[in-house]
Amino acid sequence: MRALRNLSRRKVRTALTILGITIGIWALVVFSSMANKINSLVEGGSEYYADKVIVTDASDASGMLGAPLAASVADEVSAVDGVALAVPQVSLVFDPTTTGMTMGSSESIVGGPPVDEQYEQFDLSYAQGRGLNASDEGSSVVVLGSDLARKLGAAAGDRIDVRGREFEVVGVLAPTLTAPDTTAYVPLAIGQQLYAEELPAVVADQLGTDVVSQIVVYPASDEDPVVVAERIEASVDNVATLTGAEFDEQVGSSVSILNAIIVGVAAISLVVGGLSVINTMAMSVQERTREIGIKRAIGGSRGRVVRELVLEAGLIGLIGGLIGLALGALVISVANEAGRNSGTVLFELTLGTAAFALAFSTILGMLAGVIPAWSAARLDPVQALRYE
Amino acid sequence: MALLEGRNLRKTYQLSRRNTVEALRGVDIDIEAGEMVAIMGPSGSGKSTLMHILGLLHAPDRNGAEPRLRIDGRDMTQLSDRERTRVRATEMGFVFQSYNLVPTLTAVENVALAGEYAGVSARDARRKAREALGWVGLDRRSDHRPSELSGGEQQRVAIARSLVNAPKLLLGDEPTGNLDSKRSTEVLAMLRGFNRERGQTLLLVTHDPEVGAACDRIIRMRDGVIAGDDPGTIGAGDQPASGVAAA
Repeated sequence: MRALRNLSRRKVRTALTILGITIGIWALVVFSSMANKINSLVEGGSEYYADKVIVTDASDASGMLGAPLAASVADEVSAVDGVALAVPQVSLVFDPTTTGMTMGSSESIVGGPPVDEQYEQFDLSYAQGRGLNASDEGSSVVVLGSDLARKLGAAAGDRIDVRGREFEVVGVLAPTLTAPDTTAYVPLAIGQQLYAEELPAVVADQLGTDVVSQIVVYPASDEDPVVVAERIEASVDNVATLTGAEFDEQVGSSVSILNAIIVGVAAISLVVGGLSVINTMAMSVQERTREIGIKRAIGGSRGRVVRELVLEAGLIGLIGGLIGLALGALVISVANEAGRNSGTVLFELTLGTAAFALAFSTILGMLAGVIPAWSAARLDPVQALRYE
Repeated sequence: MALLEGRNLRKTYQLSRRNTVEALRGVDIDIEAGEMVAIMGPSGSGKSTLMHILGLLHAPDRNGAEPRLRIDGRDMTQLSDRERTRVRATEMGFVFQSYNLVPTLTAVENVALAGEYAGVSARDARRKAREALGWVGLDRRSDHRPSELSGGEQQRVAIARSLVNAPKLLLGDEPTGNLDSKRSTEVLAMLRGFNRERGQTLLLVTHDPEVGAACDRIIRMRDGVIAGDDPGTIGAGDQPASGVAAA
């Protein structure tokens, strides 16, 4: 209480010190949140692909959107030893008129049968409505990811237009911070229709309309996905497989440079934030050398005098941290809101980042205060009193 | 036995590698309980250094003849910093030329701080602080901060702070140095009053002849040694100094 009162009586100085700390912590929060977002995108994908094998046409090396497969390949894959479930799936971009790169995951439509929870490890929960079930097959219903729902302004029960067809929104997913947020899930048949419309006529003629873009394979629980993938490639003609490990390798390497940049930026913001805390705090404590001299002269012990100042320094650090965090959160939510429509959600502020920022500014504030306070308290009081 | 007893007090300051100043060249001094003593002398004579050593703000040099510094018979030269701080808190009071109040604290908080450093609970320290401000006639200004007080008022707060723990010795370093003659006379009368009424022992370093005149005894310093030790112009102190009558 006394420390708080002392701060309030030194308004200008305290405000400037807090401002210095605020800027540092603000930078720290914003850049850490950017690094968080990139990490969670990669981790989310990694989690989704873990323990799965994605089977695609062999001509498609990326394992993402590619050449079509006949849906019947799913039956062939099911027959392979170690495969618990093989699910045909189509995936296509949500709006073919949009082009170009987007940060994070692109908006897509995924069509496929519902997968029993015993197979699917990636947890989806619903903010509104329900998930797709077997009885939806054949009807035009859709479950929207959270970002997509927000962008379309759609809620469960609404009707939306997708590629010229009307769909009923039966559910909206809770945010996952990765691919499902920008995905529209539809039943397999309607997905296949959309997919077939997109195929060049020559391909459609050859394969018919019963085509899918990939088959998602859930290996039996005691099987190594990598081994299962090898068996699938060996026994089914013309397919390529992608396992979680390969996903990590592929995506990991393409993201790693970006990630390194972001981590670098976060590290710089840590240093900048840290130095700004140290600098402002050290200055403001040094200015009080004379006060320390007074307190020492009238009988304040070194420990006690230092403790009083360090408590104030910690409080300044905490206040600066709170304001920096609040401003950072504000900037992040504004930037995310502005970016959501173009699919450019850049930041993710986690509880961990917030707690770290507060602890960082408080503890660093105290550490930065303790050094000049201690050196002033070590002076003989007469010297400290002469300090101007 | 003298309240304060100093022998062989020396202090050399190292200004640079080659340049040293011998501020005190061996001072022997005794102060009796209840005395009001002025230390006078030109600038650089060592009077402030002597006060700082007697007030345990500086330690005397230990090279050469072994110094001795006793308060109430207790040796002070062997004390640790912590122990000296404790003695400053409980047995001494300081009044400085530039008041040296903590700018963010109100008058009563400044005075209470000295009580807290002496180990009194915050609540009792505050109560005693209000009482001490009453002694110096500032009970109505106790919630003002130093910047809201005049120089004379600030010095009275400092006096209240120096007295709040009932110290054995009150040390003043040019206590009237920053005050105009009217305020100076008031402050001096106040100090004299505490000496008379409570037997407060006072040791005042000063340039001000008026201060010297109000004291029982004047120690004159020159070039780091005591050059003279005389009774003040009012002798043993049975006449009030000029300011006291007005107070």
